[in-house]
Amino acid sequence: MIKVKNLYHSYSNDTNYSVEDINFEVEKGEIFGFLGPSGAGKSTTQKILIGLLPLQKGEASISDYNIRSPKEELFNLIGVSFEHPNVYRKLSGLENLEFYRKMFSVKTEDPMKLLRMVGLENAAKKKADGYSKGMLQRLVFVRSMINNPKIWFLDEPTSGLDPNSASEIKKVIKEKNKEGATIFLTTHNMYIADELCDRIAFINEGKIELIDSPRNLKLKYGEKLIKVEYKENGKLKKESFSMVNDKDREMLNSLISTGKIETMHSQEATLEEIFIKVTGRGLK
Amino acid sequence: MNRIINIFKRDISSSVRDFLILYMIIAPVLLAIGLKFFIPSATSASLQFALDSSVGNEVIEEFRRYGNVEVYSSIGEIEDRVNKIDDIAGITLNDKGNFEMVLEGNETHDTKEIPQKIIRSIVGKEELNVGYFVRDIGIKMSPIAWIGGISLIITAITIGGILIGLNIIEEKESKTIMALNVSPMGKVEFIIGKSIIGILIPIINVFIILWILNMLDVNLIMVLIMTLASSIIGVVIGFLIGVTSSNQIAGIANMKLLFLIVGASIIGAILLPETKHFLLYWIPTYWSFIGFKGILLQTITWGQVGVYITWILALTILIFLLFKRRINKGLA
Repeated sequence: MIKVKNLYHSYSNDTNYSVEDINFEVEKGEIFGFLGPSGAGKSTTQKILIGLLPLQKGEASISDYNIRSPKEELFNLIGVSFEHPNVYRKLSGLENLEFYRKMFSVKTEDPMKLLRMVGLENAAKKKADGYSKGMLQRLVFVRSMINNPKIWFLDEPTSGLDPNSASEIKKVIKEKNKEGATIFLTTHNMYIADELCDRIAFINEGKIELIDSPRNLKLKYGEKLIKVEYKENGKLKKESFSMVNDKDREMLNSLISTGKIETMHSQEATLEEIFIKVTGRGLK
Repeated sequence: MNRIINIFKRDISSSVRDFLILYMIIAPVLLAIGLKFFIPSATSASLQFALDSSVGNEVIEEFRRYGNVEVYSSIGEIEDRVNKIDDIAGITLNDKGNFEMVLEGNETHDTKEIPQKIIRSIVGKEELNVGYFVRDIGIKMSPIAWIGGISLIITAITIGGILIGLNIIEEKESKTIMALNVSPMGKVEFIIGKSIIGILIPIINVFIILWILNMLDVNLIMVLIMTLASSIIGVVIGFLIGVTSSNQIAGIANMKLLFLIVGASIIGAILLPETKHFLLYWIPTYWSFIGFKGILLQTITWGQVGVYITWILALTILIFLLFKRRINKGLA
């Protein structure tokens, strides 16, 4: 669905590349996460793919449309949810969607249905200027769904949302994916990437460090730990035991057999820990 | 086409919801109403009479020797006319067949005295000794009227461009232009959609201004064509302001520069001797000014209209070509 080959981009039109030799493919129906810290090249790559930045060097195509010269048909296929709440503040939420839907030459969704989906139905006729940050984010999110996109670009879709709204948004993403949409998710939020993505690309300093599924990454780079709380001499103690270290396994078995354990949880490495391990820097 | 109309409709909705922009749209009309209060005192340098048709053709012709005569069929119509803002004396016959003057009460001395003297001369009571003589020097309208009118017309046209600029700045500031750029909308559709407001609002404003200033007796097709051609200048300038200004404050600063150039073309065209007008040829609004001057004073020919429009379009296209890359980049 999305093919990127030897992609380079320089904002200064020289060899000072913001993204360098990027290669990846996204399969139909896949949720592909682009995970990396600010300034890593996530947005640059996405902007090239959606036509906001010119393709300077390399090749890229979406659904077999060459993005060097994007056609109207391509934009009917894609939906883009921006991180910045870029809506018309003087128009209401409903007017924003009504305006945007008329830009497409394919069947579009009912704006009220979309607003209802993210809990904005009561604010539909209110000017967007009076919306909170979270409401604006939800409006931008549903605007990107107006044309029923086959390929959906999501840039930090849960940024600035309360846990409930974030959960609703994640639910919608999963539903759309089940319906067959291919999703390109750009984020520095490891939890949302972990929860939603089939595969993840770690991007750092303009280069892709690795691409794999969250599970494989954890298996490959993570260390399986068991976190235990137990009582010893009347005092509560906490300890983590490695599942690959023989000594740790013996100690854990002994605690289990003596029945001193109060709580016990398996603990995997987080994507952030793996990212640090791979790139030597954090995701912030 | 739907997208173009959609963009235009959005711009209109957005503009009328912004107090500053709404004020800018109606400002030329408000200024025209203000100007209307100044025009009569200049116009009343010539004598005007509102005559009841019952006074007879002989009397009407006699009054025509001294000034402009408007003929009405009833005393009510004469009163309505006299009540208007300029100075005019109403003359009718009463039940006894005597002449009667209808005045508002605040007329200048001559407006009251001269009709009286004319009437006395008609009824034979007095030899008329009026210190007026008429010499036609080709002036159909007071300078305040035509200079003020044209200045307002060019202001209305310039404001059309400013509206485009402010709407583009809004798109840039809110980054909504990015959302449009990832939709199937083409750049040409965007440019045309954004331009409509800068053409339609000036056309509406220009005709309202002419109506307010009682200038609708000119060649309205010429007015329409000249307004259309001139508004293209506004469109290009509007896009330039839009793409070069990162926010509304920067936009307003750029507008000041624009008004300086537009103002120079108007003031230069009025104050400079004709032999020095070539210094203003590079400003498209100079050609608009002399075009509208000819139209309002009814001294222009279609050939001249063609020449002026050619100048306007050629200069505007040149400006567009010079800044085409900048505009393209700014809209990306």
